[in-house]
Amino acid sequence: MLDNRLLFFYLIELYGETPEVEMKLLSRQEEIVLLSIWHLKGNAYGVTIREHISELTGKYWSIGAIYVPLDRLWEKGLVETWQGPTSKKRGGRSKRFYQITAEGMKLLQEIKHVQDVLWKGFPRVVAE
Amino acid sequence: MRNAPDRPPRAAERLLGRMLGGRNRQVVIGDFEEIYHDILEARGRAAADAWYGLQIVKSLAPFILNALFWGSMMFRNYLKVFARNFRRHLGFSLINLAGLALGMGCCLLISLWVVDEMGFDRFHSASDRLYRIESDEEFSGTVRHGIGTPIPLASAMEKEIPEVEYASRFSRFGGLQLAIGDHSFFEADVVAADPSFLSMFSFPLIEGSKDSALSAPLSVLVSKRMAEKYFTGGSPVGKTVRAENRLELTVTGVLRNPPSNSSLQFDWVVPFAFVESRLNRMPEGWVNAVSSYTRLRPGTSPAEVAGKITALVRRHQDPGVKTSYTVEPLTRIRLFFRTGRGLLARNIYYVYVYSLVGLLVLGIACINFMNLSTARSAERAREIGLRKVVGAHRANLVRQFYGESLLYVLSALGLAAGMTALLVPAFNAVTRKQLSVSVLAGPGPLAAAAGIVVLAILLSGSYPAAFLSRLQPAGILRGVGGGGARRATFRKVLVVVQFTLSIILLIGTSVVLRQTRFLKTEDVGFDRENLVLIPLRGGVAESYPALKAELTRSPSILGVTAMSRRPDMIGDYAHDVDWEGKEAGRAIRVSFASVAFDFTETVGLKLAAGRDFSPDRATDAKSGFLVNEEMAGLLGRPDVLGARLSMFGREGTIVGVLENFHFQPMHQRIEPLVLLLAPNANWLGNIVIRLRPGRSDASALDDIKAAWKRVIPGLPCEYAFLNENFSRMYWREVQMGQLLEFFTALAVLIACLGLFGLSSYITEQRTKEIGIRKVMGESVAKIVFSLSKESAGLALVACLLAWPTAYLLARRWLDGFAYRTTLGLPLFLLAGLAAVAIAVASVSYQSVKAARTDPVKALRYE
Repeated sequence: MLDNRLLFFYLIELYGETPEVEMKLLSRQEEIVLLSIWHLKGNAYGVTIREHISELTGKYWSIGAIYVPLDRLWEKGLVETWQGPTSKKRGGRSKRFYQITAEGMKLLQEIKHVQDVLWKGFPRVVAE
Repeated sequence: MRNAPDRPPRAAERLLGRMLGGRNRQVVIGDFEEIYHDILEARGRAAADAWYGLQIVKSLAPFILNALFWGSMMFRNYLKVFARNFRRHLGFSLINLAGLALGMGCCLLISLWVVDEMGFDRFHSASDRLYRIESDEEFSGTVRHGIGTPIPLASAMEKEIPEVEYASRFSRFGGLQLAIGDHSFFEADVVAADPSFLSMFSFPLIEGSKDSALSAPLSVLVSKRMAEKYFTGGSPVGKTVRAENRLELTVTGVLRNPPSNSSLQFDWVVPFAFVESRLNRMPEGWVNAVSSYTRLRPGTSPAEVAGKITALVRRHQDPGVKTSYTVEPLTRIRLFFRTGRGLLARNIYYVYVYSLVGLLVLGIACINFMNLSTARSAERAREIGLRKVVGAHRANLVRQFYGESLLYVLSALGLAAGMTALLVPAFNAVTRKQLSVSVLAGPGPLAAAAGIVVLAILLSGSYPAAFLSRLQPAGILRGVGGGGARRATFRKVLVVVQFTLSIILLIGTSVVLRQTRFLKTEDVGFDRENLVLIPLRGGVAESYPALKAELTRSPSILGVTAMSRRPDMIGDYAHDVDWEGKEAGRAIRVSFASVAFDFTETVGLKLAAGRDFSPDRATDAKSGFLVNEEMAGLLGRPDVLGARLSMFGREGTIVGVLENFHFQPMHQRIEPLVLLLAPNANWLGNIVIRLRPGRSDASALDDIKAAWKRVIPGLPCEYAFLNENFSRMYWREVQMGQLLEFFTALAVLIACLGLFGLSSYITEQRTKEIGIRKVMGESVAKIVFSLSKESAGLALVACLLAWPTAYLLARRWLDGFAYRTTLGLPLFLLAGLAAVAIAVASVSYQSVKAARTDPVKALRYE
């Protein structure tokens, strides 16, 4: 029989597993998606983001796969989203637009800085 | 399936939608549709559809993996919780499991029986076109339904009715005295049939040809088991069998043994022509004397054929006879032919009764499960509350509870299958069937088993699933039980239902057993004990006077007589009885038997008036009649003795009146009976010997065998005690009594288990209360009383519900007997008392235990 105290511990244990977000580190995927949103300016939503990334990386990205990093970016407060108007082309469904936040912008710059420092002096690769 | 020309197929869209989870679902589907639209414009519909389809296939794999992963995670958790609960309440859970297993085992056994009954006669290749011709004979306003048909009917049908493909007579003409080499024996299972018999039915020949096997009158077919028994060493075909010591039959084929689910059973088949022309055992003309079977051509209407048959017979019969004929499907005759009167006149009603009993027992077991699960819901409530708090949907919980039921039911099914396999031999012995568990492997029975499982799961899992999943987590976790009183009421209702069903079964069983005992002990008008019968077959009857002289010399034998049938079963009727003063045109059916001298005294019948037949009076042999009181009443005159009577063209006078005695099973009323002295040995079928009571049977039987050997050295002496016939005459009642006894015992046991489990739980809940009561000075007896009175009350309510139902059912069943036991009040009171006692007993163990525990322990607990 669980008394209330035990239940409390149980809940602590349960929620204690969720890691606290301290450092805003980005995975490679998240970085690419965030950069594309910046590139697309005001026209960033699922279809355009996917197209853009596929063009850039030359790899196949499934539609659902876009939303995993998008959700994470949103959770970290790096992008903001809003619902666009519904359209017939989408079967009466609305688009969800994404825009980079100031924090996101700052992070991108940080990343660029770190990258530049890290990659400094690396010989240029000449394409055949 | 399309709702618009420029949109993806709706079914595909739905499918995709189902597989995509999460809050982005609508948006993602929107994205899919936008791309679909782009492709549609750029490359056309086919490409767009193909792309869309591909997307579905691509998302399928992760979707399934995902579902499996989480499904198995939760499943493991459910299993763990189930195992934990099972261990923690081991006794409780075992009771639950045992109850379910017993209930399902019952159901399985009964379904074996039902499957067998339903499958009768379906093994024939054209079973849907096979029919038996039945007759409705009219006598003085009453119609008697039977299976007798005119002897020439079958061949006339084949010739004159185009819809008839085959027709054959089928007759058990009374058996044959057979001899193979010097081994002589009597075979009762000889049937006579026409050559078409082998073509219309699927009774395959292992040896011989079905076209010629029955064409010569002096041929005989033998079943495989008889071939193995009598023809050791080589094939019997071509060997000879001597019949009735004078006719040589040639074996023309070996038949596969008729399957046990065939209504037609036989070991020897002779051509009908043999019985007609060589044995001369058949009456002449169009009298209803044999049964006839037919196979109709595909697509014909049986009703039309029946009309044609009636018309055909009327052309040949005496215009006074009013018989009409029907054709009954062969597959229906086992279950639907009327074999008696009352509630259980047809076999199908036994199928209903046993199925009902099986379902009742299963129902009682499921109620146990429900009761025990809901009783524990207070404990489970906390688990459920927590599950809800951490995000379980109601659907998840419902699934969990049904899952638990499934686990219970499947393990119970396993146990039940084991139990069934162990019990099948005993069950076969009672039901006289050759059932095997393998019958259940067919698609139909498997579907039925699946049905039983689903039913059991629904019955046993529904209440916990519906009730427990609805609980509000906040309330539960705060410790508020919520709806406890309602739950208790529901439990009480279930207990009452359980006990009502048990009491009905209890009363039903006692009534059946009581009636069986009544049949066994009721005075039939003569002493059934110490009577030995010896059948007179194959010309042995000629030696009766010599046998009698030998037999009467033994000091162990009180009297010897002979008669056409047997004193407890006279099945012969005469329709031409006439007497002075009989109303003209009144059709009367009278039972008759032919007897030898000393009949009345040997059998032990009492004379109401007049005298027995006497060898000193020459007229008795030619013109004497004995009648029973029923017949005397029919004559409607005060001075029956000396009254004129005629029967079979024999004019005579009544010399004596016998007190009524039961010469038929007690389902039937005692009918008018006329006895006459057998004019010759052919009229005698059995020797009846009265043994001296108190002497050992063995010495008397030795004397009988010795006497037989002196007179008829060549033939074996077969004898039987008359009272051995009891279980054959009333096999349905005896069997039903035995089965009901078993199933009722099970039902009551299961109900007790449930009540026991429930009471242990309730007592546990009230441990503290009991402790406080004891501290305050309440006596053990009083505590026990207060704990048991509720169960007793419930049992009483169950009695009130069960009594009228049981009374009506028992009444209807007993209506099938002309002579029956009483339905006394004590029987009902006793059953009720038993139920209350059982209820109190199963509760009292727990309550006594609780009441006797040291209150200190009880109060310190927790």
